[in-house]
Amino acid sequence: MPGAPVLERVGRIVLGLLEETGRLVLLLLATLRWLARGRLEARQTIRQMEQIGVSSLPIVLVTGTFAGAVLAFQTAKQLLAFGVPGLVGGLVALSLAREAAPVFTAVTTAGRSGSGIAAEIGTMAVTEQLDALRVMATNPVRFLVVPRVLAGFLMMPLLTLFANVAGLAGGGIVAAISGVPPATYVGSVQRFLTPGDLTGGMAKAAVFGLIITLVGSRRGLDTDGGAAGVGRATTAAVVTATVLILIMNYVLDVALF
Amino acid sequence: MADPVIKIVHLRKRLNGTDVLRDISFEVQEGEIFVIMGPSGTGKSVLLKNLIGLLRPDAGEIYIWNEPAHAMREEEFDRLRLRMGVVFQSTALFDSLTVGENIAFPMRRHRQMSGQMIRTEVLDLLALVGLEETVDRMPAMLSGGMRKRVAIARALALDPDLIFYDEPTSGLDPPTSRDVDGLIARLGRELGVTSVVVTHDLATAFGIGDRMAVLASGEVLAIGPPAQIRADRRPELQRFINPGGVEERP
Repeated sequence: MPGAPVLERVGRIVLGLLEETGRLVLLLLATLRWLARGRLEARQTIRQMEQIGVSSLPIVLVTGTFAGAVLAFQTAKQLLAFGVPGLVGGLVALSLAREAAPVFTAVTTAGRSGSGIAAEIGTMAVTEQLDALRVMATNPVRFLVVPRVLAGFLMMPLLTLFANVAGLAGGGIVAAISGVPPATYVGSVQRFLTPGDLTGGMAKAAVFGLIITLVGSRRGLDTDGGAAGVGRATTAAVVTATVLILIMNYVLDVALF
Repeated sequence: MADPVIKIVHLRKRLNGTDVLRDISFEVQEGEIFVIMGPSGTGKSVLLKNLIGLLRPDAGEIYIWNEPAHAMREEEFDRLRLRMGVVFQSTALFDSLTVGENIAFPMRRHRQMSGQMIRTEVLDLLALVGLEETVDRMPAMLSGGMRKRVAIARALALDPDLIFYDEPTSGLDPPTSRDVDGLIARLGRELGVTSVVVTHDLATAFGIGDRMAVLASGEVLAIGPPAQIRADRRPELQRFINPGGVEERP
């Protein structure tokens, strides 16, 4: 039957995603257990907040600026043709707040921080450093995973907020170049954008932060097979996180907006 | 006779469909250097991982200081681990930390000590292994032999009663290997610590072991002091301990 291999492959992908989700839920529960006990590694958490948040800021600002710019370019082109420049700012702001800022920020962070987490923990796994932690009575989930997950959860909404600001600025410049007066653009943003749009996008970003750090940590902890294994874990962390972000983005959109 | 530090009773472990450890039983006495040796692939490292709680037995029992280690949950096992030190084959030093920070790591986590006290302890431990000058260097800047010594210093950080060494001389040249052997023997004598050394290096085994267990195909082939092992004429044992038909160094 010619359709069978395709079906088989699709089935395997679906099962793989379900298995991955199951493993991530287990890791999330282990993380929550440590958090519930109040056993927080403050130094490690602050270091990770710096790594995932502050260090990612430049690339997030660049991504956000151009996301806003391209949104403004397309909407201005269409709406000016219909003679309604007063909708450009609002459309850019809404698209950014609800979709572009959280998703672009998440995908960028998955590539930058998610891969870094998988590579760092994966290298520790293949060089017996995780075993060394355990025999020094230090739980790797508590010491490595909890700080990263907490940092991702807290920093992603903030990064998304910065991406929104950068996107609105980038969109404003492109809108002005396209012929939308700045006052019209700003007025439109103020008219259409509600606090709920921004907080909804930031809530999505927090969930994406959980996904990125949990996937990176999970792939890292399960790494074996030397340098090649670390490479596989890193790639898998980015691919898996990106797919889960896009799926979860749809689910959260339906739930939030 | 005092209670053994480690008592293993009919230990079995199966990995990936293979019986890696079939039926292991022996005891390790306080203060001795006990060597677990055998050719590669005989289950030595799996046995070690069972002893330090990184793997759990499928059957059988492990008692450490009379406590049932085989039945302990991870956090209960941590209580035992605070009295143990482990030197890994790859050294497992944290490559993002300096030598001094590596040795200080277990102290910072498990001892209420000031920064100054920790620094003093770290320098004392480095002096014990002859590497005071490396305290602020990164592990990647050290030679293989130096990294082993730092790993030994880290294993001693919590003043353990029991130290495990996994292939302590692997990857080292012969003179450096003998230096590390000498260090293990000296620490055993000076600190009175019980040492369990897993190795396939015959020079290490016969050079520093008070007693040894020879593993083959997941079972204990022979156990006893080096002289007794050397005198055992069974071909399967001689094939490993005397492969060229030449006597090992005394």
